[in-house]
Amino acid sequence: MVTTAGQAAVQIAAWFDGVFGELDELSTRISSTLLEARGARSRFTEADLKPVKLITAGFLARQSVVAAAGVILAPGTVDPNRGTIEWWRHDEQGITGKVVFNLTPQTGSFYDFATLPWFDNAVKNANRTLTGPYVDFGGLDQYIMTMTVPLELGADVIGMVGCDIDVRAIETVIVPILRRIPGDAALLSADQHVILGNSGRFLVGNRVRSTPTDGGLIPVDSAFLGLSLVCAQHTDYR
Amino acid sequence: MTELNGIRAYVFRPLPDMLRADAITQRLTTAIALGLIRQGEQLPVENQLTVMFGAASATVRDALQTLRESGIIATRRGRSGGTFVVGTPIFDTESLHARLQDLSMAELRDLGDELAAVAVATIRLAHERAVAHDFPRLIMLAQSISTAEDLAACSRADSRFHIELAVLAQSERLMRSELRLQSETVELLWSAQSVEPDRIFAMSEHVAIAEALRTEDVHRAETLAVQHVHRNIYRMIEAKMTLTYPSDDANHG
Repeated sequence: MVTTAGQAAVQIAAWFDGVFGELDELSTRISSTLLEARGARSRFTEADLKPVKLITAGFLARQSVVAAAGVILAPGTVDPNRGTIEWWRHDEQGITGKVVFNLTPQTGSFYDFATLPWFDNAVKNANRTLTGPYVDFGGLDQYIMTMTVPLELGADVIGMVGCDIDVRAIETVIVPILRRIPGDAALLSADQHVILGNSGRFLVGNRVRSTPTDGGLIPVDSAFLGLSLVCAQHTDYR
Repeated sequence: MTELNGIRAYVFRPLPDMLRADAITQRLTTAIALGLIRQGEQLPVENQLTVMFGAASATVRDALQTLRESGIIATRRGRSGGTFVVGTPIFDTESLHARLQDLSMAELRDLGDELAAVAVATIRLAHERAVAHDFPRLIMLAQSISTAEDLAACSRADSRFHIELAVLAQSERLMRSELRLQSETVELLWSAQSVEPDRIFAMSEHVAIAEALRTEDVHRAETLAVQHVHRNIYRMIEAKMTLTYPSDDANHG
C-alpha cells in the first residue's frame, strides 16, 4: 500500500526531476552554443556568451516559478582571474534583465560565488545540486532556493547552469502536495532545513534536528538532492 | 551604491500613484483602528502630509477622500477647521484575509522572526528600566483584552499591551519598531482568531509575561514572549493555509 505521504514524496521528486531535466537540457544547449562560438580559439571571449541571453529567456518563459537563471563560468574560462556570470531575470512585464554581481574582491559586496555550495558542488562533483532556502545576499537579495547542474564541455566541467526560485513561488507547488498528507509534514533539505511545511509546526528554514517521536522520515527519491519528508501527528499549537 | 542590479532597480522602481494612495489609506486606517491616532484628533494639513509621506498632493488628496467616504475622517472649514478623525474603521475581515492569503509562509515566518527579536530586546530593557509602580498599569493593560467585545477591540488591546512593553523599555527606536510591527500584524492576527476563546488565551499570555517581569524573572518573561509570538504566527499560518490551499486540506481545519 502506498501511503499519502509516499505519494507526496513521489510527486515532489517528480517536480524536482522535471526542473532539473530542463536545466540539463539548458546546460547542453549552452555548452554546444559556446563550443560553436569559440571555434578554433583556445579561450572563450565575452562575445561568445552573447547567445546565452536568448536561450535563458526561453527557459525563463517556460518555467513560470523560476525567478532567474543563467550560467556561471569558472575563473580561467573567459577571464584568467575571475569568473563570469550571465544571470538573467524576468520582470513583471516578461522583460529579461541582467542581474549585476560585484566580482571585484576586497570590496564590500564582493560576490564570492566560487565558495558557495551551489557552485562548488555542481562544479567539483559534477552533480545536480539543490541549495537553500537561503538569503542570497549580493545576488538577488531574496529568500530563494538555487538549483544547479554542471556545465560540461567534453570531459571538462567549465562552470554551471542553474536557476533561482523564490521560496514564495516554490510554496505554490509544494504546499498543495504537502497539504494532502494527514498530520504535520514538511519537505526537508539534505541538511535538514525545512523547505516548506503543511502547518505552522514546521517553519521554512528551521532545522529539524531529530525525527519526531510521533512520526518518521520518508526519503524523496530524486538523485543527489538528499531530500526527505518528515511526518508527525497533527498537533494544534494553542 | 553606484550601480543598481536587476532586483534593486525593481525594488526602487517608482510606485504607481494608485498604490501609494492605497498605502497611505491603509496606514492611516490601521493607525486610527489601533488608536495610535485618536478619535477627534486633527490630522496634519495636506501640505504637511505631502511632505511626510513623500507623495504628490493629488495622491494624498485621493487617500484622504477614500477615508472621508468611509466616514473615518471629516474636514471642517473655517477658523477651527481642519481634518479630524471622526469614525472608527470597520474591522475588514475580507481585506485582511486577502492580505493574509497573499503572504507566503516564508514571509510569515520572517515576520515572526522580527516580532520575536524586538520582543526579546524590549523585555530585557523593560526588565532593566521598569520600576515597581509601572507594573500595576502593565498588568491592567495585559488584562484589558479579556473584555474586548469584538475583533477590532481585541486588536487595539493586544497592540496596546505590546506598545506598553516598549514604553517601559524607554527606547524610542524599539517603540517605533514595535509600532510598525503592530500596525503590520495585529489585525491580520485577529482576522485569523475568534473573540472567544482567543481573547482569554491572549490575556493569560500577556498577564504571564507581565507577572514574570514584575517578579524580576527576565528569562521566563523572554521565553514566554517568544512562545507568544510563535503561537500567533502559528495561527496566522494555519489561517493562511486554509485560505490559500483549501482544496488540498487533508486534516487541518
